[in-house]
Amino acid sequence: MIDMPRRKLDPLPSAAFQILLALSEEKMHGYGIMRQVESQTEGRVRLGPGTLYSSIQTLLEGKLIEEADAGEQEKGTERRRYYRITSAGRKGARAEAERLADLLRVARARRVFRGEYV
Amino acid sequence: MSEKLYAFLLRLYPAHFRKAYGEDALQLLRDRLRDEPGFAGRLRLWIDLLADLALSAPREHRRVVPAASLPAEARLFQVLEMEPPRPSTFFFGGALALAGLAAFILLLSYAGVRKPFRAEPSPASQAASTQLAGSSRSATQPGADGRAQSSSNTSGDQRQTNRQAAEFLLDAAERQRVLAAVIANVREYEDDRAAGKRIVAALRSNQRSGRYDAITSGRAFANALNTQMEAASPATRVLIFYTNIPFTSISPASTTHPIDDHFAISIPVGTHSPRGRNAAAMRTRRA
Repeated sequence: MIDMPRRKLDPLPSAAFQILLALSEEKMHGYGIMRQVESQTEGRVRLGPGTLYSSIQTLLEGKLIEEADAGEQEKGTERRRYYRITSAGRKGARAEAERLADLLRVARARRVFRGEYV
Repeated sequence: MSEKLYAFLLRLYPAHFRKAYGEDALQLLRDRLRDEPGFAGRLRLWIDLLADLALSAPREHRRVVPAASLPAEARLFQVLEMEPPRPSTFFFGGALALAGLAAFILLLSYAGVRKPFRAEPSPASQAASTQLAGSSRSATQPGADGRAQSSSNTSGDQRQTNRQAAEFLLDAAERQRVLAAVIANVREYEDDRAAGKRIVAALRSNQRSGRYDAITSGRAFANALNTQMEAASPATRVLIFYTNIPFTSISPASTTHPIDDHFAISIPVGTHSPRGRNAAAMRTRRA
């Protein structure tokens, strides 16, 4: 097994970070993740199927997420794959959030923001 | 309709991606078609899909595929763009290049000293040539019947030596050289001067008419010369021999006089050269 190149996840791509954030509370299938990302970004980001599943594959290979049983959430006859975040994924999401927080502190120190952001 | 069109567009993704997530992508499309009705919803959906396709399909084609997900034969072509070559790679590559260069130089030097294949006699066939000369000499000694016996014995020897060496092919220059030598010998050794002149005239006439031009076989050329000499003078006892083994070691006392590496002319015992050449040898043989 050849691991994915490390630069794919370091730094964490925006789409992958959004997916980790979407899965941080509960397991979801692909369409649920897309809707959750759209919701948490207030409609600014809608992941298309290619970007969504490409990012999911990268996160699976990096062991930041894993497939999960559908359990009670499986409805009807449609078979969907569910995903949930792993402990490594939480660490990776936390590290990415801290990196962005550091950037935010620097931006604030440089007085990049104006008005209500300050 | 939208689902079929998107299923077709999914072919733009690599096979491993379609196999792993193609059905999930179609399911996501069905979900969006269900949840985003209306013209505006469909328009936004297709804008999203096409933009996503343009960005993600090339990225998927550049992706390094895990070896375990590939068939065994495809792993031979694993792209290693993310893995720099190891030092041992350079070492073995350099050693292989040096070995190849050494082999190439060795082959060049071998080709420089190699002799091309030729229809040249081996030492064994040289001995056979000497035996052939001796056989011809002894066969011509009976006198009046010498011509027929010599022809028969030499033909048998030629059949034997044909198995030992390749046929010597004549070109125009060789035919001209042999013919000139035959004419010179006929003039010198033919007892009947009138017959000698007829023979020479016939040979030259045939040469001018191009009857020899197509002959490349030494044996066929000798046969043609003998036939034409006999036609010009049935009483002539001069006979042309051919062998594909050069017989340059024939004794000067032989009645078979070499005129070429491959051609010889038979001079029957008792023939006296008008110029006295070989007369001593003839007399010695006759004695």
